[in-house]
This record gives sequence, C-alpha cells and structure tokens, in this order.
Amino acid sequence: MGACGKSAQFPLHVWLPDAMEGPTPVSALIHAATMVTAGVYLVVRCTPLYAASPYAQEVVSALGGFTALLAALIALTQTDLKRILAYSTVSQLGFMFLALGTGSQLGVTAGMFHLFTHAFFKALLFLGAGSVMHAMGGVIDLCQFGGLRRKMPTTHWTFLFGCLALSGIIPFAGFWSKDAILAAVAEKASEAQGSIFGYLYYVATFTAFLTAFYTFRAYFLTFHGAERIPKEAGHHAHESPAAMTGPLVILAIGALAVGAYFQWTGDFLGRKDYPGFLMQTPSLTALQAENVAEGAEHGPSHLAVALISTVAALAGIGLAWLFYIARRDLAESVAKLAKSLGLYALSHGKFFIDEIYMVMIVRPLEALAALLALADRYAIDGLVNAFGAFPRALGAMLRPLQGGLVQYYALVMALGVLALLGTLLW
Amino acid sequence: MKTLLLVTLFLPAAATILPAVGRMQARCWALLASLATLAGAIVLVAGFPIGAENFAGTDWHWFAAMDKSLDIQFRVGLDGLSLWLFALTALLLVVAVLVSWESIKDQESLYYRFLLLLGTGMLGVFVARDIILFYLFFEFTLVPLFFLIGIWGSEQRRYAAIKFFLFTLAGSVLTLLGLLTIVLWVFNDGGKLTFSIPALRDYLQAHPMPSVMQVWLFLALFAGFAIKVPLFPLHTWLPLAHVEAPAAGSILLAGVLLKIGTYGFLRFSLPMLPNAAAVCMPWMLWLSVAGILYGALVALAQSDLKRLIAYSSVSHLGFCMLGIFALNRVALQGGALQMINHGLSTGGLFALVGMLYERYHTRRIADFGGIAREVPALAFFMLFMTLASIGLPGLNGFVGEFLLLMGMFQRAWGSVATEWTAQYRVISVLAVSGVVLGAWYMLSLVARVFFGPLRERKHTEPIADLSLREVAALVPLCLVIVWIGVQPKFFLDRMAPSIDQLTGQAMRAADTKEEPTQRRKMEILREP
Repeated sequence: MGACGKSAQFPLHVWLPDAMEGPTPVSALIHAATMVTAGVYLVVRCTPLYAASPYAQEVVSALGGFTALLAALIALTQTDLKRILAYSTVSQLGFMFLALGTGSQLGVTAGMFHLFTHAFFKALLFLGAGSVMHAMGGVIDLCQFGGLRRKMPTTHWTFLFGCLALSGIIPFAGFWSKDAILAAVAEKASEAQGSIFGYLYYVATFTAFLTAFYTFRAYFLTFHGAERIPKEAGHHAHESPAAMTGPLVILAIGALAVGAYFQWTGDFLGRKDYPGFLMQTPSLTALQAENVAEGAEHGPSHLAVALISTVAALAGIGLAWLFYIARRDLAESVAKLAKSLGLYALSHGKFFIDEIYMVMIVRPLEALAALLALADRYAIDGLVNAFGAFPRALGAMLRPLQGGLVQYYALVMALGVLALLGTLLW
Repeated sequence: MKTLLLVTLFLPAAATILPAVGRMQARCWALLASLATLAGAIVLVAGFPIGAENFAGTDWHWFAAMDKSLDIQFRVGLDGLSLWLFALTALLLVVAVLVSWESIKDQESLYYRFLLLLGTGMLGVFVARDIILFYLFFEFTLVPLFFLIGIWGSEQRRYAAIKFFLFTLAGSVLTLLGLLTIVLWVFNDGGKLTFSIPALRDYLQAHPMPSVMQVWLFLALFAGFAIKVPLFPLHTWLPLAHVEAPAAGSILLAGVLLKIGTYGFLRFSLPMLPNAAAVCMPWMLWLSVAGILYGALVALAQSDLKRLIAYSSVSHLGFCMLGIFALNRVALQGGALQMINHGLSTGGLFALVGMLYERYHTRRIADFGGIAREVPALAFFMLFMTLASIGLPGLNGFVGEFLLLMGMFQRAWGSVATEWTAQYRVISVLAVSGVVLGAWYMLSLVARVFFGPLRERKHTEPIADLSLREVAALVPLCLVIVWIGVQPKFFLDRMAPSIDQLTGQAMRAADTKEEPTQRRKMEILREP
C-alpha cells in the first residue's frame, strides 16, 4: 500500500495527475524519475519478502498490470499535455510493478532497468512539455496549439526521441527495458500455466499498443498539422533558450543510447552488465541461484516477444498517424461512436475515481466531523454545563429560606421550638 | 546544584516582587527573569547524571518542624521524567514573555507578574517530591492562569476562566482525596506517616494494596489528571480556555499545563497503583484512541484557528495517553517523549497564532487566504510547526509517534494473546489512522490560511513580517524540534531509567495480568 501510494498505483494514483499543477521541472524530476520510483525501490528491496509469498507476487503484478491499462485508457482522451504524461507515468510504473511481481531474476532486473530508462525519456518528455508550455505562454491544452515542429525544431526532435523511447521502438532505451518486462511476464506465464500471468501478458502487450497510440497522438497533435498559436503566447512563440533545450538534447541522447549501451555489452537481451550489476545486491542473489538452475531459455523465445512488442508499438504509431494526420474524419467518427457508448466520458473523466473517493470518503468524514463538532459543543459540553447548573438550581430552591421577611423567620423559629419540645416530650 | 534548582524554581516568583512598574520595565524584568530561569534549567540539564533519581534535591522539614512524625517536607528534586518537562517549562516561559511583548497593552506589570507566578507554579509541579507540595503547586498554577484568561482574554473570557477553574478544581479535589487516602493507607499498613512520593512509591511497590482499593484510588486520581490531560470526554474546557486565553496563556496552557495531567499519571497512578493500571488498561486505551479520532475529526470541522489547534491538542494528548497506557517499555518512552514534542510544536503553533492575531485581528480561518505572500517567514514557521506536529520524519513528532505506535503494536500483536488482544489490534489500527487525520486537518489548515488566492481585506495597512523578537521566540523551539528529531537518544537516555523505575511494576502487572480472563478480573474487583 505504501509503495502504491508513492508510485501512484491504483487505488492511490489520483494524486499524480493533480500534481501536474506544479512547475514542470518539478514534475520532470520527481514524477518521472525520482520520487515515484521510491515505491518500486521499496518492492525491489523487499524482494526476499515477496518471494516468500507467490500470492503477494500475483497481487503486485495484477495491480501493476491493471493500473497500466487503466492509466493508458484514461490517457487516450486527455487534452492536457502534462496530464497525458502523468498518466503515462502511472502506466509505466504499472509496468514496473508488473515485472517485479514475476519474482524472477529477469523480472526484477527488468523492472529496475525500466525504472532507469524511464527516468531518461519521461524527464525528457516533461521538460519538452515545459518548453512547449513556455513558448505557448502557459497554455498546455492540446486543443489550443498545433503544428509547432517548424517553430520549435529542437524541442520537436527531442520530444520525438522521447516518444519513440516511450513507445518502445528499437534502438531507443525504452525498447530494451519494456521488452525485458514483456519477456519476463511471458516467461512466468509459460512457467505457471493458467495463472494470472497469462492474461497479464496480453494486457501488457495491449497496453504497449495503447501507449504508442496516445503518445503519438500527443506528438502529432502538438507538432504536426496546421500551425496554431494561442493568443497567450504573444511573442513567446519561438524555440526556447539554450538553457532549456540543452538538457533536452542531453536527455535525448540518453533516451537513445542508454538502453542499447547496456544491452550490447552483453548478449542480445543477455544478463550481463546492468542486471549483473544488480545481482550483486545481497537481497537479490537468491534470484540468481534459481535462474542458473533452470537454464537460460524457456518459454516463448525472446525474439518472438521482441517482435510482438515492436509490432504492437508500430501499430499504435500507425493508428495515431491514421487518425491524426491522414484521416482526421476517421478519428471524429470513432470518437462519436465512443461518446455514444459512454466510453469517451468514462475515459475523459478518469473513470470518475476522484469523484468516487470524494463521495465515499471525503464527504462522509467531513459530515462526521461537523456532527461531532456539534455534539461536542452541545451534548458533551451541555452535560458539563448541567453539572454546573446543578448547584445553582439547588441554591435557587433554597434561597427563599433567606427571604428577609422577619415574620417568616419568626414563624420558622416558632415551629422549630415546637418541634424541639415535641421531640423532648415524646 | 541544589541551590541552583531552588533558585531556578523560585526566580520567576521572586521577580514579581517589584514595585509597580511601567510597561517597558515590566517586560524587561520578565524577560530577564525568564531567561535566567532558562539558563538555570540548561545548566541543570547539562549536569544531569543519567539515571539520577533525586538530582539537585532539597529536603526541608517545614510543617511541624518539632513533630517529625508528620513527614511533610519541602522536598524537590529532578529525575529523568521531570528533567525535560522542567526544561520545556523554562523555555516556553521565555517564549510566552516574548510573544506578549507587544500584544498586552494594559496592566502590563500585573500581567507579567501573573505570568512569572505561573512559571514558578509549573516548575514546582514537576520537581515536587512530596504529596502536599505537589498538590500545592498543582493548584497554584490555576490561580494565575485564571486571572490571565479572565482579564486579558477574548470576548468570552470570564466564562472561560471560571469554567476552566471550576472544572479542573473539581477533578483535582478528588485527586487530593485519592492522594491522601494513599498516604493514610500506607500509614495504616506500614505505621509510618509520610507524604514523600519516593517513600510512598517504594512502600507500595513492596507491599501493594489490594486490587479493589487500587482501582478505586485509580479512579479518584483519574478524575483530576484526566481532566487536565484532557482525556475524552472530559475535554470540553480546553477549546474554550484556549480560544479565550491570550497568546502566552495558550502557549503555557497547551505546552505545559496539559502535561501535568499525563505527568500525574506517570508519577502517581502507574507507580503506586500498578495493578489498577493494568486492570483499567483497556478502558484507558479506548478513551485515548477515542480522544485521538474525536479530536482530529472535530478539528477538521472548525472554523476558528485557535479552536482547531486546541482540538489538535486533544488528539495529540490522546496519543500520549495511548503510549502511557500501552504499558510497554517502548510505548511509554514514546508517550513521555511525545509530551515534550507536543509542548514544543503546539507551543510554537499557538505563538504563531498569536502573531497572526496581532496582525490580522481575526481568528476565523475564512478571513485568511494566501497570506504567505504577505508574511513568508511566518508561513515558513507555521509550516515547520505543522510538519513537526503531524510527525514528519526528521522532526520530533515522528520519533514520539513511531515509538508509541510501535509499543502499542507490540502490545496488540507481540504479547500473549488474551481476550483483549482483538480490541488492542483495533485500537492500534485506529490510532494509526489518527495520524492520517492529523495530517489532513493541519495541512488543509495551512493551505487555507497561507496559500491560495490572497483574500481582499478591508483595512489595507501593510502587514509586517516577523520581527527579530518573534523570530527569536520561535527559533529555539525549531532547533530543539530538529534536535529531538535527529538525535532523540540524548533525550530518551535521560528519561528512560526513571520511566522504567516508575512503571516497571505496572508493566509487569500488565503482562502477567494479561492471562486472567474477564471473569477473573471481575472477581478481583469484587474481592473485599
């Protein structure tokens, strides 16, 4: 649960898109690369703990896979560029959890490797979005700008690199890590026939397709098509200064090269270097032992997995190109169909999870709080005040005895004397 | 050292013996006296040997000097438990004086005299080692605070002062009754009439009272201490007293006077009535966790800044009581440390609220908004105190909360399973959710008051940010907060031996009494 909260997995993922209100460099740092990875890191550190319970591992993977799919479905219809990236982060973190839950050496290292490469290309994408936002005078809504590739060439090309990396196209970084994840899930699926991992493999591949689609949807809508500049941009609408584009270029080189570098120094999808480096961690060495015993290759060959994922990614890109460049009218009619089925609203409204939380958790607690506040003021305090009122009431009852009327005192005295005489005589 | 303790204790009271002076002199004298007191306290802390039971102590016969058989003595001394409370009191006294510097505008010399008298009273409570002396100081603190609230408070000050005074007094009269009964029982049983707290404790730990008697006396002591803590549902005096008190009054009330209640439990109820503590443990834990959640929820619904923080005090002291009555070594240390932590962070919060009131003349949250733009330094300190209050790791609140929750979890999951264990587990989980609620209302308070759009105000005089004096009042608190957060060992080392000694028997009683069933416990209570 703690890892879910930190790494924005369902059901605790709602904070991440809302955090996009913050400054973009902050998002690039913590929401892409550092803070959200804390949850993934926690799970990896506790690998021996999770290895002790296959059920827990299934939960982790299922949660990751579900979140990945959920976030991808939401990202399909978002119009705020940063929100798309936020949901894409949630989705990719879901992939990482999916990999970690397999509990195999390949899975755990794939998850960490994806974390590593994701940092590069996601930070790149966020900073690119920030560059666009800066140029557009603070506007980040896709509907309001377009065709920026001539106005902002550096941003355009680096953003494209990031998109290709995110979609998992060879030779970009994302390909190697996402592919390793899919291979790990496939391996686990074939090991544990009939378990949830079989389904998760298909979910993951479908989500990879969706990832490519929504990423390139964002790319095409921003950088291609007719050039549109919102009025807020004013004279800002030009390429960003070197201070902003410099890091973009550096990260783009990283997004391109990092994955390949770590993989080509070993076998094709081999286990040298980065994974080998990770394996030196004491808590992970147990994984090594079990993999060496079982042999290197089993299940669907890694080449097959790589091919399938590449096909899925290319299909996503192709569909995005079809909808947003070639035949916009097709996109319109699909959207209309989706709207009539209510699917569009579901996706655009983030599956209304925020609203559900509000209704189920926040408002009832606030109501309870108000109720208790009233109870405190009137019931409990009323009881205390009643204690305080008691002596006063008693005094009010007894006060007439001190009326000040002399005749009354005389009467009481006489009666008292009579009573005294009476008790003495009897 | 002996004289230093006496001097530090009575210095504030001595400083009140001055001719009626004007405002400037009154303030300066008060500041000097409180700084000197703080210096004395720091020297005592520095010189405190770990494990000492009666450091810098003094024993004077003052009642019945001829007839030494009536063993009422002027007996003061520091031990691990009192040490940090003593130092906290001295520090908060300085803060209180600094915070009142500009805001008190009439009868200043009288105000500062009352403040200093209150200082001596509070210091005395923590170092008294004689029952009569303890009770004397215990009640003595009520008088200056009554006047402070009643004269220099807000609109409903008279009602608040009277209610606070009578409510607390009513409880503490029962406590006196309980304490005297303890003395007389020991006299009856052992033949020696002594009012000395250590002597009574040693005797009662060697020859415990029958459990029935213990429970009755526990209830009697409970009456006074629980009202002071304040434990749900006897807490209703607190929001009123806090809201109506002047800033310094609130600081001392929240920072120190609430701790007198928990201190009473640790000093009297647990050491002298260990079996009763063990028997009453489930009820006390339920009341504590009810206080935690209730305080947090009601705080959420408040629209008055001071009232919100007052209810947060109820919630935090619920945590302290949870730690104390988990009767587990770790939890007790957490609870005792949390007493100090709460004094620091809530004292700081009330100081800041006082500063806000001086500038904006309102306590309604709705009147604020986005003022971090106008008073950034104040916003920083407020956020700092908020984070300390909700238990951010690295600051003091985390250490205390973590220890006491861990101790409670040990009680619920780690010890022998009894019929209460399921309840303890529920209590532990509820207590942890209290932490989340705490974060909720405090952070949303800060968000509503300091961030967001700047609210238009009618008067547009420029609002000054914190002055040097105000920063000087807050910085020492922040430093100690961070110190406790990163090196709690320094504080826990000095507290631990005393707490172990005081509560050892109660802990053992709790652990062994865990075995008997509910039926057996009712039998114990029904024993003649």
